[in-house]
Order: sequence, then structure tokens, then C-alpha cells
Amino acid sequence: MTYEYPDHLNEPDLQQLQVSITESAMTDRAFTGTRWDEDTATIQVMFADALSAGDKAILDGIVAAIP
Amino acid sequence: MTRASFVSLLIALAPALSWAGAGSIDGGQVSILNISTETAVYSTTMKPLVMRCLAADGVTFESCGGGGSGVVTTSAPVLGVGSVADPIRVDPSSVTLLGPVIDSAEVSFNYAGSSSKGGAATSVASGGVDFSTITTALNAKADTFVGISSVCAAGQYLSSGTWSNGVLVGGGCVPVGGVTGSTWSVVAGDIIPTDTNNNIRITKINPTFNIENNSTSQYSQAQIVFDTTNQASDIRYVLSAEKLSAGSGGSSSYFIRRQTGGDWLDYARFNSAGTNDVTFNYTKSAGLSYGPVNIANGDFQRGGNSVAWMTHFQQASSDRQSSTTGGFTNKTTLTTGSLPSGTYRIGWSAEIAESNATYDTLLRVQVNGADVANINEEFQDTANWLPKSGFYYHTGSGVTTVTLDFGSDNTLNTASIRRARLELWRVQ
Repeated sequence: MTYEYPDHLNEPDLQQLQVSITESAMTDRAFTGTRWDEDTATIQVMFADALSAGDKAILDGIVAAIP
Repeated sequence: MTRASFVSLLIALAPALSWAGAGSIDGGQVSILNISTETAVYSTTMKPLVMRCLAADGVTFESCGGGGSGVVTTSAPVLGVGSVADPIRVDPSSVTLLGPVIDSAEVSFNYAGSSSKGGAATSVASGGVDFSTITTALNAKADTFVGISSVCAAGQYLSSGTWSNGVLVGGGCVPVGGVTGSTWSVVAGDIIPTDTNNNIRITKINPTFNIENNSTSQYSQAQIVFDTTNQASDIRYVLSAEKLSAGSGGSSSYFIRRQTGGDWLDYARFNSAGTNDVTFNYTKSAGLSYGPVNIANGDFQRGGNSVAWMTHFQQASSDRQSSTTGGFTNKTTLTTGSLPSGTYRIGWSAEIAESNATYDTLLRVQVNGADVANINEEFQDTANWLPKSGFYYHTGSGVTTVTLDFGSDNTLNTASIRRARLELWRVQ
């Protein structure tokens, strides 16, 4: 499942986002990576499975915490 | 009859005869034979014989021919006294002419040069016939029939007819310099003059030969057919302007190869309606085995802004940057229409980068889900972009999907890609 965050982060933020996710409780949620496209200026966070509502709230908090 | 016998005859008839002024003889009672041969006796020794018809039976005369063939009987009044000055004759007021119809037995002509009466004429003496009179009569007769005239309108001439191949058999007025009829045809060389090389020439400034189709029907045509009849299979080449749709629009020009009575084999079409496309259909007929299309000399070039080269060409590109920390993800995709069976060259190129020199950036190209390229690149300078490219010959048909994907072999590496491009074009 891919979760998109438009107009919030840029390509250099991917590794910070990557680290934040792997250090959080989301690390065992079949996290497969992040993606950013210049065309859409959208951050995508990808998991093999869909997240629960609780996990989705945690993910939103991680993305929002990156300046 | 001799002179003596004639005198004897008169003596024998004396009791029954009375001379003029002395009495009369009833008709049918007396025959006078061969008077003319006795003229000398009659004129010198005898009084003139006066014969008068007093009854309706008239008088019978017998000619000198004898045998009865010259006998003429008349009941008409007889004039004259029988003298040289006043011969016996029939009163012309009592003569009826033969009537309006002359039977063949009544009249025969003995014309010059013929040895017998009634034979066929073989010649007419000079001056014997007034041809102007005959022509005038025939012209007057011709004018009474519809479609035949002895005088043609301006721009036409009076043909005597009898062309070959069934055209203008009966003759008549023929247009000069233009034809307005709908069924008029021409056999080459019959009425169109050609030079010694059988060429028809129009020598003018900007000469034009117009053939106009004035129909609004779909597929109606104006065309010129080039035909070679001396060949096994009747192949014709046609220059045609055809209406693709009914009404005032939708015309195309064609150069066509076709069989007589059959469908087109090939054609080149210049479409002046809709998309204004040009089509060369070399394989219109599935029943023929076709060879290659050759350019004997010179180069095949394309110009303008056309996106089509050869029969099929398609491309896809995504120039802007994408990055990922995950595995393969799609950067750009090329999806074709339904391709005819053939061989297609598929080319790709992209620039890739990575954020961690320890890990790999991934790149792959797939055709209909199968890898045709799959690489891992781990390079030292993470600030650099590396070009990656290649090509592949794909043989197939139908809808074809080409994808260019990239990724990272570790989440600690951010793999990036930009200027990703795909192309497909048919090569054979």
C-alpha cells in the first residue's frame, strides 16, 4: 500500500523519512521504501500491506515531524 | 392483195355497198384489207373510200402486219374522211389514258448500252442524271426522321457513320472538339489524330485534360485507366479521383493497381478530406505474394513534423526526477496500439543516481512483463548521474507494453532516475 504526501517533502528528505520509519514502531509493518517524484512533488511511503488506522496515524506523525 | 383482186373484191361487194352520198353499210358487215398497199389503185382509179360508223360496235381495222395481231376495235367516234389530208382517226376526246399506275408489261426502257430491254443498268451517260436534284430530295427525306439531319449545328459535322467497334454506326451529327453525350466512346486512332509514334499531343500553354465527376454519390469516380490487354492476367492501372462519402465533400485521389472486375490490389491514396493523410497500401490483396518495396536509387527521407516513420513508431518519456528507497517502481511506460506482425526495435535510456555508495541503484526494462534489461549500479560518487541505455529487437504483434522501472536494493539508499525514455519502431 502506498501513502502519498503531496507538497510536503522533497527528494533529499527521503532518507530522513526512511530512518524515522525504521526507528519507529512501523519498522515491522512490511515497509518497502519511499518515493518522490519531481513531476508531482509528492512523497510516497510504500508498505507491502495496508496499514491499520493506528499505524497510519503514526506514519502521519512521522511525516509531519520532518521539517 | 393485188390490184386485180382488190378490184374484184369491190365488184363483189357492189350490191351491198353504197358510195358516199349514195347509202351506208352497217358496222361489222364489211372488212377492208390492206388498203395502204393499194394506194396507187385507190388514188388513181377509184374514188376515196368513206367509212362511217353508224352503230356502237364501231369499225374494225387490220394492220398490214396481218395474222390478226394488229386488229384494233374501237367504239369511239371516228374522225376523218380517209384522205391524205384528213385520215381516219379516233376522236381524241374519247381516249382515256392508261391511269396513275404503269404496269411493267405496259412500259419498258431501252437505255443506252443495253442489248435488251429490261436489263440492269451498268452505267449512266454523263449528264444523264441531275445529282443535285437527287441530293435535295434525299436531304428533304432525311429531315423527316428524328435524329437525322442534313444540316448540323455549329460545332458539329455531318458524319457518314460506320465507325469500328460499334460507335456511330448510323452516322449523323458528331460534335467537333467536345462531347456532351453520356455513352460516347472513342477507339484510339479512329477519330483522334496521332503522330507517327502514336502519340496524342496537346501543344498549348498549360494544357489541361479535364475529366469531371459531377455525381454526389459515394465512391463515384472520375478516372483514367491504363490497360495492357496483351497479358495473361488483366491488370490495370488507374488514376482516380473518388468520393469517399456522399455529398459535397470527401474526395481522395488514388493510383490503383487492380484486376478487371476485381478488387484493388494496391493503391496509393492522397486523402483530401478528414485527416489529409497519405496511404500506400501495398498489401490490399491477401491473395497475392508480395515482394519488397524497393528504392532503387537515392535515399528514403522523411521531412516535416511527422511522428510516424516507416509503418509504426511510438515513444514515451519522463524527464523529471524520481527517487525511491524501495524496490522496483515504474518510471515510465510505453503502450502501443495493435501492431501488425513484425520486428520492432525497442530502445531506452535514463540517468540514474544513488545516495549511498554502499548500495545499488536498480534499473530494468520489460516487454510485456519479461525482462529485456536488468542492471544494478553501485558507484562511488553519490553526487553523480550515470547514463544507462540499450536496445532490443522484439518480434510480435498486437498490443505491446514496454516499462522502465528503477529501485534501490536497500532502504538506506535513495535511488534516483531522470530523463527516462522509451521508443519503439518497426524495422521489418
